[in-house]
Amino acid sequence: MGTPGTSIRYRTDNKTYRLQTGQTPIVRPPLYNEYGLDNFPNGMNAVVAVISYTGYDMDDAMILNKSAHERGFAHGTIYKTKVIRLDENERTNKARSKSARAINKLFGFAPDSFVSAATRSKLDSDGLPHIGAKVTEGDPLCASHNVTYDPAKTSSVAYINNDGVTQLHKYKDSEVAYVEEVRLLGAESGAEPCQSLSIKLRIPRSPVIGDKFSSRHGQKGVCSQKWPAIDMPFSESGIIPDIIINPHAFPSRMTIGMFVESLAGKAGALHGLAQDSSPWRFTEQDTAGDYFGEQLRLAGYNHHGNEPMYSGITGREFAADIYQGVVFYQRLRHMVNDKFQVRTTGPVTQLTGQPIKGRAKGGGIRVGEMERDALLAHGCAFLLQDRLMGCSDYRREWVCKGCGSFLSTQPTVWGGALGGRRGKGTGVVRCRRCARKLADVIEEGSEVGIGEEWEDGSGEKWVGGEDTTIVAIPGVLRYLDVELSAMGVRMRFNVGP
Amino acid sequence: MDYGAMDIDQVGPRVIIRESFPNRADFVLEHVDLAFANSLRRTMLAEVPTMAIDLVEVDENTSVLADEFIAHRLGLIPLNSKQIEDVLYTRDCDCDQYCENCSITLTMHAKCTGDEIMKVYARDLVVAEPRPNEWVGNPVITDEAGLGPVICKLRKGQAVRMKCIAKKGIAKEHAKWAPTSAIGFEYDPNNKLRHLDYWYEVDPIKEWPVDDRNASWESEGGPQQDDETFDYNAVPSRFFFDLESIGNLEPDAVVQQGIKVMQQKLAAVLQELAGDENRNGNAGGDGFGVQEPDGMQGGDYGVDQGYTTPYVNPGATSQWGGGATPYGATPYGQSGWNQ
Ligand SMILES: [Zn+2]
Ligand SMILES: [Zn+2]
Repeated sequence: MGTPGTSIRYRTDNKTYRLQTGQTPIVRPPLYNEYGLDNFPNGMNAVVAVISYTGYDMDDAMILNKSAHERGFAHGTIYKTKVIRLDENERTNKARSKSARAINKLFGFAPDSFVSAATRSKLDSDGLPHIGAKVTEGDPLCASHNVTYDPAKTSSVAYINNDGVTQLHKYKDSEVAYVEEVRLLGAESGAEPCQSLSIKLRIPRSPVIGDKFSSRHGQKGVCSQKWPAIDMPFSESGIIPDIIINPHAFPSRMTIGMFVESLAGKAGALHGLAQDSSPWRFTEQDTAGDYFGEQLRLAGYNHHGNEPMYSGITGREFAADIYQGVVFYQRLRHMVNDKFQVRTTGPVTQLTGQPIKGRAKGGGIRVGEMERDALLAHGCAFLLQDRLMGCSDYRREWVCKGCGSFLSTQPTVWGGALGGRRGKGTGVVRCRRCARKLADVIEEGSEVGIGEEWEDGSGEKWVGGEDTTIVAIPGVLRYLDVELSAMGVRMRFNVGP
Repeated sequence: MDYGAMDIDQVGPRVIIRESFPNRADFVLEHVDLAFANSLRRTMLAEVPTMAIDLVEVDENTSVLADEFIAHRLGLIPLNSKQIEDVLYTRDCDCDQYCENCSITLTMHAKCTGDEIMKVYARDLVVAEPRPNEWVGNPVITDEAGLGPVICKLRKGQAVRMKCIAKKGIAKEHAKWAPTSAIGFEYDPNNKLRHLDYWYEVDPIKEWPVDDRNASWESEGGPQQDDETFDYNAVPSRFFFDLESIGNLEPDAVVQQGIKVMQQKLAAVLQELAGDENRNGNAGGDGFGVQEPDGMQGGDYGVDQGYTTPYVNPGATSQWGGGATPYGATPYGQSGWNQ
């Protein structure tokens, strides 16, 4: 996130990221000034301590100072523009060259229509939102109504609303936004009434746990915790770092530049200098460490950039001195608010009954083979069942215990002999495979007791096949049975007890 | 260090104020232990109540800055918090939202009419009367021109009109209520306790700068000598504080208020430990006293039976409350999963 331009006020991008509280970097190359980049700030100078503290800075995570955040550190905004077209669903041919008589919708409340007080409070009397209004999911963004063109009336009201119904165009995103600007997009000719609207929304995005940050050396990390300032380590002069990162981020990546920037930034902050970060200014004999180290020494600091620090929680001095300096940090546009995914139940695919994919559609995250193995290794069989069946394609299915088939069970219907509800389902399920036709049984001469016979939907009478039961299975199991049977393979399930 | 002699001479903590400025206090705290000194530091940083703008009603804002951004800037403006005991916390007040007893209203009304860019300063905040006392709520202005911090800039025709409600609060809740910008804290500047193991290339004494003032304040003076024996039982007892106030409270008031807050908290702990016979029937029976209200939910803290294994569970109900899965009957038509 940064400052994408000087004309943000007049732009209507679909999505723009903006940093609210940008600063000029202490450490910078000469071209930074030449290009006038101070007009487009894209980060902040953060006091960074390189220390493994509380474990919340493990693995490229970083700890943010909660007070720094409250003072505005890395606050950002997203601007989104929503265009609302009234002519959207109509004949999209004719290339928008609509005549005055083809218009059948107008913005605003229908005259004399009932509008709830809640809507009235959210929209202005013209049916458009108030500038600066807060909108949450489901709130109306604007109102419109149906009209018909009245050619006889050539005065100002040439469009007449007949149904008295107001349609509301809703804000569908789940995030809170503020109305920044409303633009009425008039017709090309200027003769027809306004048919589309462009609403610019402002979404505040203060940094939260899970947001991504980076120094200019590719040392990116995710905020894992916002510690209260009193719990953060502090130096003898009382400086509390804005960011804590883990020392293990350095050895393998060898981003020496970040160390030098930290040193230069610290010296620059102490002396009030903007440091030159041009490469190749130093040699093996005359090193950057010595140059900036000397500046630090003059300011009364250790020339390696280390400082004795104290635990904020106990007040005890750490056994190791801590590398602390000032590094320019950027806020990256990958934020949890755009990425988090959660589901217990929700939409499923038609075929299998399993959850659909995709964050936007409310889908699930797959518990794959590796995840399954992990759960098995932990002995969490019950949890595994819940993931793989309970929260997925749980189904209760009739099965025949006699022949072990899902596919041969079928519901029975009321026969003529048993009363007037002929053809209606009885709720009893029998196995047709294990049953015999009533006619055959009678022909054989066997006894058929009262109520022993049952009827299928096509009027055929049967006897037997009572050994059915309901089992809970994953829906795809039955689907597999169907697919296999189509290939001439029969599955047989031994249902106990 | 001769601790025995000192205990006779000196009982209880001692404070030596070394330097005092309008917004800074440099003092030494002696004869306390580390936990106490750090508690004081933490309290002064985060729990001394001050005033700050907490609610902003935006009537008009045609500036280039968003409402919430200006509101945030307003919140960070330091407001005089002298004798803040006169102000109630809104949560303790009888009023519905806020009132004169628990808040101070400041209004900002500015419009740029000239061709030049106009700056709106903290001095343009108008404090409404009456208020709990004559100081509380005044924006802190320390610059020579008497302007205070810039809130926003306006171009010709732009205007801001906002009603700001300042409330009493502490920095634990939001950093805008912080009374200090930083508190310097140091003990054992000569590292005689060897809490710190200095990293060095050749010679730690040459490479590590020492705060001379603090180092020489220690009566023993000078770094560890080779022939000196290491007293591994020694604990820090002298703490060098350097407190910098934001301006809403005088530095000595910050210290006093910090001590007061700490006393109140300790009194609350003591009261809880002593136990209230009427409230807690068998006080002292479990040895834990009254439970933190937002602590573990329900149950007797001290008499937890611990984890009972769900296997071989003779009762019909399982650990998950009843024999049923969330889907009605248990799968496979059994009455309990472990039968
Ligand atoms: Zn069968
Ligand atoms: Zn009140």
